[in-house]
Amino acid sequence: MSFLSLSHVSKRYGAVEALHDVSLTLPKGGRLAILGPSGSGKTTLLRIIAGFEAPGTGTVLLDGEVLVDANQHVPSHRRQIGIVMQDGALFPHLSVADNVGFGLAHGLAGRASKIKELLVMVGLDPALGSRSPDALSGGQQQRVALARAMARAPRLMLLDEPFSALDATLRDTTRKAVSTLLQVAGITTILVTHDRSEALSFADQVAVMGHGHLLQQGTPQGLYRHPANKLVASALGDAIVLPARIAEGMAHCALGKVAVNDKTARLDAEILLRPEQVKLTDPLTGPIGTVIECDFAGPFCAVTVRLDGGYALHMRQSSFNAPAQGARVGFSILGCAHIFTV
Amino acid sequence: MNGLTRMMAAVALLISIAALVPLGFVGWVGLQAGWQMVATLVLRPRVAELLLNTALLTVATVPICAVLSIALAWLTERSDLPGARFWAWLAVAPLAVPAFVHSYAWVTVAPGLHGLGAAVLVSVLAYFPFVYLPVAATLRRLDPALEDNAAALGLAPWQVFRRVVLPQLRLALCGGALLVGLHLLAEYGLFVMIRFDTFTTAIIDQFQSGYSGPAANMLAMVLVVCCLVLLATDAAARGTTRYARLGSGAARTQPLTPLGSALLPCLLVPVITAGLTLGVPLATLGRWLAIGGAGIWKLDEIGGALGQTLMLAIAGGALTVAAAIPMAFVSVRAPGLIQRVLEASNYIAGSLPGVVVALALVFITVRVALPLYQTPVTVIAAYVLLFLPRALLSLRASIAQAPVDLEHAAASLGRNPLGALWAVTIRLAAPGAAAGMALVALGITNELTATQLLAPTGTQTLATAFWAYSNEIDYAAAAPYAVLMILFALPLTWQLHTQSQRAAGR
Amino acid sequence: MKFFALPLASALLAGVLLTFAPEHAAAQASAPLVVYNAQHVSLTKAWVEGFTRETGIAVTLRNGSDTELGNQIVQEGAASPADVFLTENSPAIALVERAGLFVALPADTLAQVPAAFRHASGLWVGIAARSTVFAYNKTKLTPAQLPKSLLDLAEPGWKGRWAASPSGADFQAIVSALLETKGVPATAIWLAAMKTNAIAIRGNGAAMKAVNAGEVDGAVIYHYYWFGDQAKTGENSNNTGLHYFRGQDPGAFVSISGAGVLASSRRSVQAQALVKWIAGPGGQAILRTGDSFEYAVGVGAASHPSLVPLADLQAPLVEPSRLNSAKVAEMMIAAGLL
Repeated sequence: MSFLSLSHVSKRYGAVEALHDVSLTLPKGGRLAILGPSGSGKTTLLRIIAGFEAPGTGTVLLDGEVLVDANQHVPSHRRQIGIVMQDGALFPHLSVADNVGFGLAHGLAGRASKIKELLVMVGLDPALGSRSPDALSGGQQQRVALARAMARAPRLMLLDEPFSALDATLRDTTRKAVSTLLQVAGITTILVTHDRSEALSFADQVAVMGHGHLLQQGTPQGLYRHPANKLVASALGDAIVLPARIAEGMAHCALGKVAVNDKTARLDAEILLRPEQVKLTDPLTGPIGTVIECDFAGPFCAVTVRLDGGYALHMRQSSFNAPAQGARVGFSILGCAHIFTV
Repeated sequence: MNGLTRMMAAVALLISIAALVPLGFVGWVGLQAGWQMVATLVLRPRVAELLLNTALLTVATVPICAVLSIALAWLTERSDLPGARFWAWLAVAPLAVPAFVHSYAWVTVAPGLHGLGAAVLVSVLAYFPFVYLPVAATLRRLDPALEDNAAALGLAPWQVFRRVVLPQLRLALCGGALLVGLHLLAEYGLFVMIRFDTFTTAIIDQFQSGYSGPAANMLAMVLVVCCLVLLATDAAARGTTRYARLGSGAARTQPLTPLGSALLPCLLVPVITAGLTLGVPLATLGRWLAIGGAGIWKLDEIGGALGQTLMLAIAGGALTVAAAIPMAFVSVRAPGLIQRVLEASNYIAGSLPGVVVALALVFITVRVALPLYQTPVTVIAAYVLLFLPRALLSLRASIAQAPVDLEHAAASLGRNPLGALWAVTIRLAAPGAAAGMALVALGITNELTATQLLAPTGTQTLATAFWAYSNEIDYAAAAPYAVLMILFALPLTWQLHTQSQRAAGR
Repeated sequence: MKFFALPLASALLAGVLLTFAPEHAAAQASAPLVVYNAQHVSLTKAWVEGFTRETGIAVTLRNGSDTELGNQIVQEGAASPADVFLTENSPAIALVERAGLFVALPADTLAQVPAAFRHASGLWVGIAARSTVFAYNKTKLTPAQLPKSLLDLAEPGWKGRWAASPSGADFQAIVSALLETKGVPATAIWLAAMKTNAIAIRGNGAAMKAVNAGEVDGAVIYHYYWFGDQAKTGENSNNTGLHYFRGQDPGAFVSISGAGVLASSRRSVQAQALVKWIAGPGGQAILRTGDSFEYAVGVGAASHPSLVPLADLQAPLVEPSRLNSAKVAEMMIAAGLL
């Protein structure tokens, strides 16, 4: 039984189709990351779930309750769905404590101590409560925004690129903290992001969006290994895509014979290899290429190899055994290649 | 501080001291008069009557302006009102009609109109754009994420408006309300025509009865106190809360609320407002022009008034901007406590009603600086004092757009310091200076009290000519002057409108 | 310094404009005569145009109200830029006269005006006159209900029913006549009653307009506002009639507009010529033919034919030079009317 379910949700803005027939489900306590470049429709989808916008068609159900269908639209303030936005969207005219307590009734017993608890829960000193939001750092602001959303014990938490405005180190620590917190609280969560590593590390389900379409939904590992198409493949990581002929349980391609997961014979298949599957070896057997570029980047080198057959491959290689420019190299493949189903 | 900044600071100091002359005059008059005379001339029922009038007028006008402005701003900025841009422009356009022309139109339409109710009506119609402009601009700039968040936190739409939107409009409302309040204190023509007594009308009465005498000066003292009370109230109402947008990302554009079945009643708000603020004056002027026919177009007289108005407006505008440059430069390049004090003194002087500044200058020139008495120098000095804040605001913004880094960049490209200043700062600040000059020129064109009291013998501006004719109830002969003032102001009003649109990125 | 190019250019421009401003050269002997004019601008313009046409002497006007300009001349003292002072009413000219700032007018100028309409020792001369009237709304008041005396308007029955323009020099002149004829205590009582009874409206024309619109039953104004409006559209007076108090009542006061030459004038020859011209046949003819509807005061000069003849007004006998505007202002301030 899915906790959140969207069926056939579409949305147009004038001539632009922002969402096209999107259906997805999420179990209770699940953590879904919606990944996609800007303009892919991911934020629109989130805003429809939050109730800030109504879909053109389609239904949204939460815990068996209809939030939106052809006949009704529950306004956002009655949905009990929390949201944390890109830069927190804290109310600048209220103190930190008033921000956190914004959704709590004024007469609520133990309101002040609840606010303190929430601040502690998100890892902030309760003494910050009297400060003005602009006196806090970006990371602290995001924690306040989270505490504010948590105050109302939301049925569903929506995170709209909440870490993207933070700098790299802060981004990782804040993400981990938020992730742990939500997990402990057991709150069903949807994270919208354009950062693939964020999506993969945060969620137990990833949905990839492009041009208003939901391209594929699945576990992070499943999507990474077995994407439905090239768009999904490159959305989740660097990809080497080669045309291949499948015969005798192997793929025959520019890199020679490569093991595959689907042994059905085909003449015009396309296979996917992740660059980390490809190891450079001495040019002994099989296809050979020439290193045309090798850029040192600390722990690894970005290596470009031109195959004698004409293809250029981009991959990373440990900087300790990286080949020199102009070197002749051979290849060995780790694991299976993935065949796109056309 | 480098040498240039130091020099600018010195000039700014001199100008600020000059700006405090009217305030000093009022204080001196109070001290000079002694308790006995203050008691006779200030502590009397008439002054209490005027105080009550002023208080009632302000208390009634400002909230109505606020409510009307918020309603109009919401409709033009946040709803799917058809022709919203057009209505937004019409909400600013009443500023092109001088306040006394508004009341001239209303006493023509409804000859019996007078007293507090009438004063409030015409004041609201003439001055609400001062509140509408900042409120609409703020509403447009508000981050919609805040409202989304409030809704997600369980607030119904009207609660969102009350707890999130309204607090964010506070600064805009305060600024607009202060401007309206100061205009209510300073305005003369509007209230004379609508027959409502305020301190300014009473001061002019006293002046016309006894010239620069203690009776007028004492009332001016009370008026200045009213003015300072207003400034203090505003400062208190502003508070110290921050309202700027937090975070770095650009705010999403505002979604427009569909009006649906409420469209027609909502459309009535801007339609009726435009009808009252623009329809009534334009129809009235049209009627008087038609009645007057060709006879009222005494071209030599009108041409003379137009020429003198332009001369005063251009000279006053240029000098005011020139006087504002040092202050603006210092406040951008060397901000600090002293700079804030200097700037505040300029703003206080600029908040004083024209009649107070004029009384001070009459008093001083006739007694101390007789060669300057009744010369253009004095009336232009009054304009500079009155309109310095307008020029300062425009200039400061544009000088801030030319950070010192740009000058350094120009210097690294081989320009000497002055060359760099000229090539970068001056070029970037020029549009701001021009806008400030235009605003000052507009103020001068519609100025009545200081011009009447200080202008050299034989001076007739569009405003004073209009006033002279309408005072003799020759409304037809006054009409061409009103039309010229409106035509003069329209482009500037348009500029204000587009500027506020641009500031919000539309 | 290039940075100052912009402000400097502006300042220079301003300076140039100032130099060419119309009256900068006011102090030079060849410059136009400076007239401080409290009379209606249109009337004085007609006078000055006629004078300039005949003599070629140019005139610049500084317009204002009686007591404003009178007090201004007193404060300016010997440094006053004014050459000639023209008033609407007697108190203002008396103010300057008492300050000793006028120079005597020559006999031929004085001879043009009857003694009743000029200063006893010839420091100023009358140039026009106006009569106090009670303009009333004809649908609200019958002739029988009209006040018999100005003093009647102090009675409680008139509360809220009559208007006047207490801030104007015209009405203050009427009060000065009341003060002169009835004395301080009676005037103080009458002014206190007026504060209760009267609606204050700025300007005689506006007061008449209010009567015409039926806002008040009547107003104490001068006669010529009514005739002037009738000659134009009548829009502000068609519902009104004029009531003359007559019988030497303070309300029958006829106020004299005066002209005097300042002792400090550096163009006194031209200044004397102007005063002589206005008081003479040329100036007085303009009162008969023009649209001012003020009374002509010259010897043998006829007023506009539509007016009630000056001689029929039975005005109280008041010595104009004794009219005291300062005392009137003080008493009106005390009564809360100013």
